[in-house]
Amino acid sequence: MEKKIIEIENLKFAYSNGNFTLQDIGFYVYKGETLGIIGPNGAGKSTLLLHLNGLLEGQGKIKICGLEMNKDNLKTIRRKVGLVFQDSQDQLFMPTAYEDVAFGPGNLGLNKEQVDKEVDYALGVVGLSDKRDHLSYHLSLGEQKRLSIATVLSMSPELLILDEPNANLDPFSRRHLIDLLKCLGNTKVIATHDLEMVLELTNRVILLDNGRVISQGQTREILSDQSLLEAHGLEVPLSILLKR
Amino acid sequence: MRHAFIDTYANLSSPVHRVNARFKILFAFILLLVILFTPIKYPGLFFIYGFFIITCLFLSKVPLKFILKRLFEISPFILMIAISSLFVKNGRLIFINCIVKASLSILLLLIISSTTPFTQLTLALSGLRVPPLILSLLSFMYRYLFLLEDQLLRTKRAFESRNINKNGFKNIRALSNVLGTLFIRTYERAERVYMAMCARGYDGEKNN
Repeated sequence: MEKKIIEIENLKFAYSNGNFTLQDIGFYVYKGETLGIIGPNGAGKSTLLLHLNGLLEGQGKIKICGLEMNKDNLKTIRRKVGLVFQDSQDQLFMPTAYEDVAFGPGNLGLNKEQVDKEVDYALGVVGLSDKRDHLSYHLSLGEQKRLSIATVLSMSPELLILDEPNANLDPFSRRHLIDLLKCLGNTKVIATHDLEMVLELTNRVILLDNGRVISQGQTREILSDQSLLEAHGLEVPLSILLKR
Repeated sequence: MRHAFIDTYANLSSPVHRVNARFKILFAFILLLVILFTPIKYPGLFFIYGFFIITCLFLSKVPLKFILKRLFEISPFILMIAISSLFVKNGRLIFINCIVKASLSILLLLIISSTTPFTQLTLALSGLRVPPLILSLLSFMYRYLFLLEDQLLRTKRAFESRNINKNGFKNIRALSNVLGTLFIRTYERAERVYMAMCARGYDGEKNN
């Protein structure tokens, strides 16, 4: 049987105003697979992703790479999980590209040489080696997004989590990003409502709405279900419609 | 988006720019102490300090207008403290003392900060054993100042495009809302940035 990278059972979470943002969430993610989390705005996608790195704490059981989510395991879990935030301006908090990519490895306690090696590797993978000493706010939006991915790749994560990775990107940058994600061998969880991308990148999806898992299954199957998608603020991707 | 308004003149070439950043900071710090501890009863010395600082300013090729504008922006804070000293005995002397010393110190720091690129400045400070926490604060400030300015600009545009009736006083309420929104957005961003740091293994100490 395949190894489970994420195991979630009965996860519940409420923000301080008392409304449940997540209720009875349960799913598995297997090693090497790419899972899509789809749902309308405000469905709870981002909130769910923050749980996978222990940044938010709800009730219920979460296991990442076989480790129970608790205080003792937090450090190890954060090392194994690379979380890429929706807004690159949040993700890139250091002045230069190099410093930003070096931040994670530095926190892992690597020495200068090893850090440099990781940074060179990560910048190479995302194709930004020549932007090493640039200030991050001088980069284009697409480059900022790829730099954000490099900041977690430099920590060699087992699991890559991306929140709306292609929001606001132009078609070329979007294509570049999708091709990049295809090349990365890590287990991936991608939250988005760009269903064309989901179709291209994932084999399984979870449909989230109002903080609940509405449906989960094979990507093509769920994305072809017109009435289900329309009931939850989504629509069947054009590429599926045209083939009918 | 307007870029690099801090570093506008940091990459010129002049004798002042060429001085090693660490030396510059150390020298400025010592001169600062000397200025602060010189009693006001020796006005001649202050003329010498002033002459030295103004010579540096001209050597550095940074436009006088730029420096004076910055000085002007800080002046309300100096004035506020200086004016309060007018109400005590010997107040006038303390007032002059405060204004002269503060202006000279600020001019000095302005010259340092506008002739050194920011990344070199933090590097030099870390070479001078300034605590890493303070350096992280500085570099965050630098990193997000642009964003804050940008956000303010965008909010201002959105505000003006819907503000047909441009009547100064009535705007105050709306303007205070704009500031409030800006504060909340900044606060929320700080939370998200902190989360992004934790996600990459930050535990309160900076290790690089």
